[in-house]
Amino acid sequence: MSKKIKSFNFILIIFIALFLTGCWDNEELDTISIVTGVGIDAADTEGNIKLSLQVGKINQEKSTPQSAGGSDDSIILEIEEKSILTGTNELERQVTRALFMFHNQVIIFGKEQAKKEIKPYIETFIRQNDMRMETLVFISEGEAKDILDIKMEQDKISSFGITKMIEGIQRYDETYSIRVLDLVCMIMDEGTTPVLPILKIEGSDKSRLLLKGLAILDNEKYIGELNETETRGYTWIRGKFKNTFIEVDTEDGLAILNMSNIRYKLKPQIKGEDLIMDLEILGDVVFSEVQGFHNMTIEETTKIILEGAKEKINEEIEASLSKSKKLKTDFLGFGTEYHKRFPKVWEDVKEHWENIFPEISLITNIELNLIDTGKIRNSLDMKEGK
Amino acid sequence: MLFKFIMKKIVAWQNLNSSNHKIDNGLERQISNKLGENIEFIKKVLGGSNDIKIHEFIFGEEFEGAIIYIDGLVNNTEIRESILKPIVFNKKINKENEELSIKEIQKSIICSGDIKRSDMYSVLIDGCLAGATILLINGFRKGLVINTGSWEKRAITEPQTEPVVRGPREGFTEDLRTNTSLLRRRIKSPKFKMENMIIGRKTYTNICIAYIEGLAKPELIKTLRYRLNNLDVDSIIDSSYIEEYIEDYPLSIFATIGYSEKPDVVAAKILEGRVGIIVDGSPFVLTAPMLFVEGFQSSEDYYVRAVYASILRIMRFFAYFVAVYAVPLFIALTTFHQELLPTTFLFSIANAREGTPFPAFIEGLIMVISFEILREAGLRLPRPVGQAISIVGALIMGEAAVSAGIVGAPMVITVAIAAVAGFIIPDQTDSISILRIIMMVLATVLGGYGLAIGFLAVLIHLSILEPFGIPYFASIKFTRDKQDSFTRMPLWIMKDRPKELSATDVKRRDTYVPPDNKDD
Repeated sequence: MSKKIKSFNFILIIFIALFLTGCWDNEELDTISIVTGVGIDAADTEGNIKLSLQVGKINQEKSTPQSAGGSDDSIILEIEEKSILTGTNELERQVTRALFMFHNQVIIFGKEQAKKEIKPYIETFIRQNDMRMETLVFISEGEAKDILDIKMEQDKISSFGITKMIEGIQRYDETYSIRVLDLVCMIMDEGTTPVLPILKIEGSDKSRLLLKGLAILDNEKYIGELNETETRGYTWIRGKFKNTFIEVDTEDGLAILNMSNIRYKLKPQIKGEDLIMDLEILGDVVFSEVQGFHNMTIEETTKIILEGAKEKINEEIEASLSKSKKLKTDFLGFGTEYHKRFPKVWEDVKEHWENIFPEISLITNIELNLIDTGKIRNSLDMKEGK
Repeated sequence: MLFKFIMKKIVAWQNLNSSNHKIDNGLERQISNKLGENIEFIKKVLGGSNDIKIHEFIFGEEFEGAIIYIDGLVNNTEIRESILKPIVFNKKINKENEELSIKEIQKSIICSGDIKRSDMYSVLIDGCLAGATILLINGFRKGLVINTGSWEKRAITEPQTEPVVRGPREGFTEDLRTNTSLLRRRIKSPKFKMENMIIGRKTYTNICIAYIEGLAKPELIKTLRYRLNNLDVDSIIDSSYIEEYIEDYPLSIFATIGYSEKPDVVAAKILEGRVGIIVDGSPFVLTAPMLFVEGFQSSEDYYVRAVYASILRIMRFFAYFVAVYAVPLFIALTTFHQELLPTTFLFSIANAREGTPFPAFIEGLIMVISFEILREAGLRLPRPVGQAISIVGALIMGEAAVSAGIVGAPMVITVAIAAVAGFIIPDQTDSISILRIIMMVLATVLGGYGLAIGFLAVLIHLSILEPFGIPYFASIKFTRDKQDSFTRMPLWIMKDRPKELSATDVKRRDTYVPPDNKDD
């Protein structure tokens, strides 16, 4: 009998315990504000930052049919505080709802703040449980807040627009999608200087965003940026193109090639005292557009175009390398390659890598394989081939 | 544990209240040899019911006889043609030997196959009430009970609960004899046995246990026979009465005895080693035991091609999960785990939830309960009105509740999906409804963690069930049974019967001719 009572009591306790929990993590949807973007700008006061949070606005009106899918508006919350968490805590006391950080899409540092420092603020994003590692990180040309504030033409919340933009680009070029985790890896990596994509507001009504090259963060501080050509060079060396267009502008005419199935091989070598970097790029190309080349056969044209393409790629790589040497910072990741391949040598050189690094000579070997000329063989201007 | 505890309590309480329930109704006595006395007694017992017909007549030289029957339960033509006419027009009857001539009447005069001879009032009256005609003759200490039963019955129609596109369309009726004939026509083996018994102190309901000897487990038949023989109740109106009295887990929300309205389904289950229980007056024939997977098997699975049937099976299991977990999961996701939802989806839900006054659980409860009410209303009302109800329910309630801002549209959609998914598994509808609400409470209190606990608890409960000694999850436990659980293998692969159900006769098929390989 006592056994029965015991088991009965046991079950009773479980039931009571179940209901004593009182739903402590229970948050109804109408009690939270969903943060979609975080902007960090430099403040006038030393040691402070201007924190801007982009909060997706929830539409209360039921009648409008377009309100059904997603939010189309956002609120910007601004505050000047010492750190991100003190800022969000302070903001929570000012707004009606709890700030919900899980769905944060982007972190944008203002250029001015990037010139000061970004490292302590990245810390928050990797330590806090409710911040995700896959949030995209950017540097803004002007103030980060302005980028969060703009209404893009299709996606009214700019952080959604940015995410979609990056996801679109990512299919052929992985350079611009740098997430918190990637950034942290770059910071931790001894041989690599972190880079971050730069966002700039464009368009007459300020409703478009442009990805304008990469910012170089030596010691996690902004020291310079790469223009478009240099960024392409960076992408070639880091092997981040999945497929790309190459514009070949020769004396005879203009051609656009589509390069796909790209394979990269970056091989560090030590020959005597010299450090040599071997870069091999293999890819299939397709003619996408051919203009000019009057009175030339397709064989001649092909030769000229492929040569031109190789030269173009070389130029881009060279531009990026010389920038790197000029700034004396290794954002191309050569140090990491040497660290991986020659860990013992690396131990000796890592202290003065920025001095050794500019001595490296890069040998590129590009092989392009023409697989298709598109739907037509000859251009309209060309001579009839055999 | 709690469950066993309650069961023991109930059993103890029953034993306390049980007493000798055999009631002496004064019928256990011999009849007299005087016709007048006998008629008087029967009149007294059966009272002045106007459907009791007593027809006295004189035949032979000076024999007095009487037939007693209940109007409406007998075939009048048969009484006239095979009882009255042969007796009245027969001139051979003499008064020399009582025993001889009552036998003679039975054997050579009355043209009927089913005749009993008895000298007990109880046998005569029971027979009369079951539709037989009693023949009493003055001077004889024995009467004849002649089966002339014939009454109005429903024709065999297509069952409304289990319609099929392809497959037999016959359905059981309320008549026991019709039902047994439907089964006998499908299983002609001499080993197919049907045991008869009568249960019900007031209703005297005919009950028939149908099984194939040597195929069904002897222990199973023994248990059933024991439980039915020891069942002494007032009334058995429908087969579900029997189900409740003999099932192993009366407090579980899962059924452990199956039912079907289709003879082909019952025949197939009997052929798998189950036992059918046919109850007079009920078109639903019980099959015991019922295993978990049976709720997901449809008769049509075996009539369409195996691949398609397997896809349907998997879909039914999926639908079961949707039916039970869609609403609780929605509650857990929107109140505990917002981070698990895609951002745009979260915004859609947040927009819809904005301005609705109740928490997600209350909102879900409103919708689930109003759905159950509407379903019940649609079922109980006459069909034309039922349709009107569903229109009112679906259009007015759903649409108006959303536009009035009482519930959010995503919740309405979720409840609707869960409801429709629940209809795919008609056998489990009741357990789905109960589980859904339990899971909703767990999801509200503990979120996804609560759902996991609930899922495990249900799983443990299901694995413990062993109706009639056969594991409820047999189809998952035994390799041989798996052929016909989540998928339905082609018939030529399923050459053995389910493991635990069949006793000795295990093989379903011995040989078959595989298709010719043209390349050889």
